Amino acid sequence: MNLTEDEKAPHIPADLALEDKWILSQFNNLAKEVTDNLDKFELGIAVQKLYDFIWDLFCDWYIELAKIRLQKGGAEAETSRAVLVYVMSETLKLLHPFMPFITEEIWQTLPHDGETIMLSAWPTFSEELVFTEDEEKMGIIMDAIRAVRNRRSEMNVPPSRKAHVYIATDKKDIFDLAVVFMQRLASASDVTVGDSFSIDGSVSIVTADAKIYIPMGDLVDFEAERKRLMKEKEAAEKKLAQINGKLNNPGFLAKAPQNVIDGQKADAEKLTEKIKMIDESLASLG
Amino acid sequence: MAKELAKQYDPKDVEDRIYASWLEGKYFHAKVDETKKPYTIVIPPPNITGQLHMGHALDNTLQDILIRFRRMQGFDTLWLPGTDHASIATEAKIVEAMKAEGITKEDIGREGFLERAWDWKAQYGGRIIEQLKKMGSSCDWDRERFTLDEGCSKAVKEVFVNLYEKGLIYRGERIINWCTHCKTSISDAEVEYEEQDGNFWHFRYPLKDGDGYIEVATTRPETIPGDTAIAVHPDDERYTHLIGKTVIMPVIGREIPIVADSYAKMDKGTGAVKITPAHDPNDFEVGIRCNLPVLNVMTDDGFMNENAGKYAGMNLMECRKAIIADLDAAGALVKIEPTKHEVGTCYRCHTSVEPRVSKQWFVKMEPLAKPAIKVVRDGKVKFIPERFDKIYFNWMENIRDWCISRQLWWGHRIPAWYCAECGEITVSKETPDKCCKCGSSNITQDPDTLDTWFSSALWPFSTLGWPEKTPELMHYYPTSTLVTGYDIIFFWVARMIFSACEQMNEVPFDTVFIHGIVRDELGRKMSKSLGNGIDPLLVIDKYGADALRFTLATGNSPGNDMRYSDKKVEAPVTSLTRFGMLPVSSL
Repeated sequence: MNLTEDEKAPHIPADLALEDKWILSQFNNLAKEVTDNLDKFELGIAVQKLYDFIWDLFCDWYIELAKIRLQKGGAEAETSRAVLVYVMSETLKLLHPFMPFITEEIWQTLPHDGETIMLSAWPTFSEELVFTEDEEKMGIIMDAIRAVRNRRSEMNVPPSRKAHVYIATDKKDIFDLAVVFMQRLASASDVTVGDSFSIDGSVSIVTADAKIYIPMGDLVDFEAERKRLMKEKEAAEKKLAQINGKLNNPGFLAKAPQNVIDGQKADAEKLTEKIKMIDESLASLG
Repeated sequence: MAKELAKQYDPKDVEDRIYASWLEGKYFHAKVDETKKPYTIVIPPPNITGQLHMGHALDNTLQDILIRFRRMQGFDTLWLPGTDHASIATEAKIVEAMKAEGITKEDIGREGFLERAWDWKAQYGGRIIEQLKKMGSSCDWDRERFTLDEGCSKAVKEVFVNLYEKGLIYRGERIINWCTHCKTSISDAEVEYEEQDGNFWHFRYPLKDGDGYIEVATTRPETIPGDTAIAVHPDDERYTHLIGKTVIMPVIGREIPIVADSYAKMDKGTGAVKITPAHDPNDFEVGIRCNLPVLNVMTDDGFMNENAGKYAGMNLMECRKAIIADLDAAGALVKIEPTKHEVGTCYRCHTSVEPRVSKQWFVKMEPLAKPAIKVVRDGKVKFIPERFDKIYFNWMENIRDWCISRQLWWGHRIPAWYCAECGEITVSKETPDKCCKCGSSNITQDPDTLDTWFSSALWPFSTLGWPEKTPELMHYYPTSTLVTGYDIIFFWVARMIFSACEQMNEVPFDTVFIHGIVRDELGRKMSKSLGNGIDPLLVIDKYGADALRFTLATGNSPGNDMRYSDKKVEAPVTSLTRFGMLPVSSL
C-alpha cells in the first residue's frame, strides 16, 4: 500500500459518508455473528460468512464506491481511505484463525499497531457502529442498482454503453445520494430523480421503492437491433417452413415413428412462439 | 512498517518465513498469568510413527482456529503439544527393521531393543511435529511432551499404584482377547467384529448311564477338547431330568457333568450348550458360577497343546477337520447347518482373535465409570454435537473391566515385582529391593508393559505437571476444549474423563468437540487399498497451508464427515491475494 510511514493506525474517521456507515455497520454485524458462531463451534458457518462479506459486500460494492471519492482526492479521499483500511484490517483479523499466513502478510502491509496480527485484539461488536438507517438506505439503493444491472444484462447491453436513468420515487432524499453510485455501478450517464415520469419508448424497472425508466434508445441501437431481429425472424421462419413441409407430407407421416413426429410438432410450436415474440420486440422498437 | 504485497503471492515463500517469525517472537508461548482467564487445549498426541494425514490436518486446523481466536480475545491460551509412544505400532516398526537385518528381539534382549527404540524415536519421532508446524499450528512448542517422558512415566506409576492400593487394579484370571499373530492380549475395544460364514456342527454326547443322548451344536469343534460341562437352562422341561447327570464325550472319552445355567437359551439351537471355560468369555463366566475346571487346550501361537490329547500339535483348522472326522466316524455327528456369525478380529492385523484364559492385569471399571457417567449427565462435560453422548453412555453403562497388560517391551513397564520365595506381588512407585512381605531380594519385575491408552488417559493433567501441584496445573487445569474424532470416544475420551474424575476429582475439559473423517470426492474412506488417500503435505506444497485450512474449515460441520476435493482448494488463496492487493490497485 503506498502509504507513508507516519500514517495513522487503523481508525474510524469523522464525517462518514453513507456508504462508510453502511459497510461499518455490516462489518459490525459480521463481527458479532462470527464470534457467536465460533463460540458455538460452528467453524464452517463462520468462515463462509467471512468470505461472503469480503467478496459480496466489501469487494463487489464498497471498494467500487470508495473509488469515487478516492479519485476526487482531498478530505473525502482521506475519509474513504481510512475506512477502507479499517475494514480491511479488522476483517483480516476475523479471518486470521482460519488463514493465518496470508492474513498476517497482508495485515503487515497495512498501517498497523503491534508486531503481529496474531496478538492483535479480536474485533468486537460496538454500539457506536450501529447504523441501521444507513443500512436500510443503502439496501434500497443497492436493490435499484442490481435491478438496472440485471435488466441491462438480460438485454445484452455492454457496460460501456451509458444510459440516462429516471427514478420515480417518494424517497427522493435517498435516491439523490444514489446518483454518483448509479453512475459508477449502473452505467448511468445521468440520473434524474422525481415523483413520476412518463417517457415514451422506455424500459421500466420496478423495485420496492422506485419505478425506474431508461430510454430504449440509450440502451439499444435501434437500427442494429432491428436488423438483428429481422435476421433472427428470417432464420426462424425458414426453419418453421421446413418442419411444416415435413408435417404436411403424407409420406413422412406414414413412415416416421410417432415420437419423431411429436418432436417435430413441438419444435414447430416453439418456433411459432419465437416468431411471435420477435414481432412484438420489432413493434416495440417502433 | 508498511511494505508492498508481492505482486505474485507464493505461499511457499511466505508461509515458512512467517512461521519462523512467529517462533522467534515467541508468540505461541504461554506463561501463567493469573490476571487472565485461561483457555487450554491439549493436543491428541499423534504417534511417533505417524505421518501427517488428512485426519491430523482436520483435527489440528480446528484446534488452531479455536486457539488463535481465544488468544486474540485476550485469554491466557495454551495449546499443549506432544507425541504418543504408540506401543504396538512402534514395536512393530522396530521389529520389522531388525528382521531386515536378520536379528530378533531375543537376540539383543530387552535393553538392546529399548536402546534401538529410543534411537528410532530420536531420529524419526519428531517428523510429525515438523509437519504440524507446516500447517501453521500455534502450539507452545517449549512445553512439548511425550507419553514416555519422565513426567508422564511418573504419573503412570502414581496412578497404577494408587488404583492398585484401592483394589481397582487387580491381577486375575480372565478370558482375554489373544492375538496369535501379534502374540499379545488386546482389550475388548480393540476387537473388530466381522460377519463370517461358518457352520453349526451338531453332535450327540451319550449319557453315562442308560442309553440317552444330549445334542449340542458348535461353530468351533476345535475347542471340544476343552469342554468341561454341558449347560441347559434350569427351566427347560426337556432337560430337567438330565441336570446333574454325566455324559461321556465321544472319542475324547472324558466324563463331564450336565449343569443348569441361564446362559443356555431354551429357544436357541438344541437348548444345550457345551461349555469351554478356557476359550470363551461366556463359558468362563458359567465356569465360575458352576465351579467348573478351566482347561486350556491351545498354545500362544494357535496350536493345540498337550491337553488336547491326540490333537496336540495340530493347528486349529487341522484339529477341527480331524475332530469332525473322528466324531463322524463314531456316529456322533448329527448334522451340519451353515450359518453366519460374528467373529472377533485383531484391529491391527485382522487375525481372528482367540479368547483364552490368562493371568493379566485389569482395571475394575464399574466404580470408575459411575462418576464419569455422572459428569456428562450433569452437563459438566458437554459433547458437541450433543448426540455423541449416546455412544459415550452406551460404552460406559455396559463397561467391562479393562485389560491393561501387553506382552510388549516398548512402553510403561508394569511396576509390580514377583517374589520367588513367597509369591507375593510388590507394587511400588520406586523400584523395590526386596519383597514387601517376606523381605527376600529374589524379586523380578513383571515383564509386561501397559496398554498405550493407559498413559494417554492421563494426558490432560500429566502434561501440566501432575502429580506435582505445579502452577501450570493450578492455572490451566481443567482444560477447555478437547477436539477429536468420533472413533476414539471410548478409547480415549472416556478414559480421560474417568481418570480425571478419580485422580483430580475434576473433569479434564468442559467440552468435547467432535469431528468426522475426511473422505474422498466420492464419499469413500481414504485407504491404502483404494489408493485414494490425499497427502496434506503435497496439498500444502502445491497450494499452501492457508488454502488447505480454509477448505477443511468450510467443509466442517460438527460431528459429520466431509468430502475433500483438490478442485476447491486453490480458489480461496487466489481470491484473497487479489483482496490484499486491492489497496494498491485502487489508488
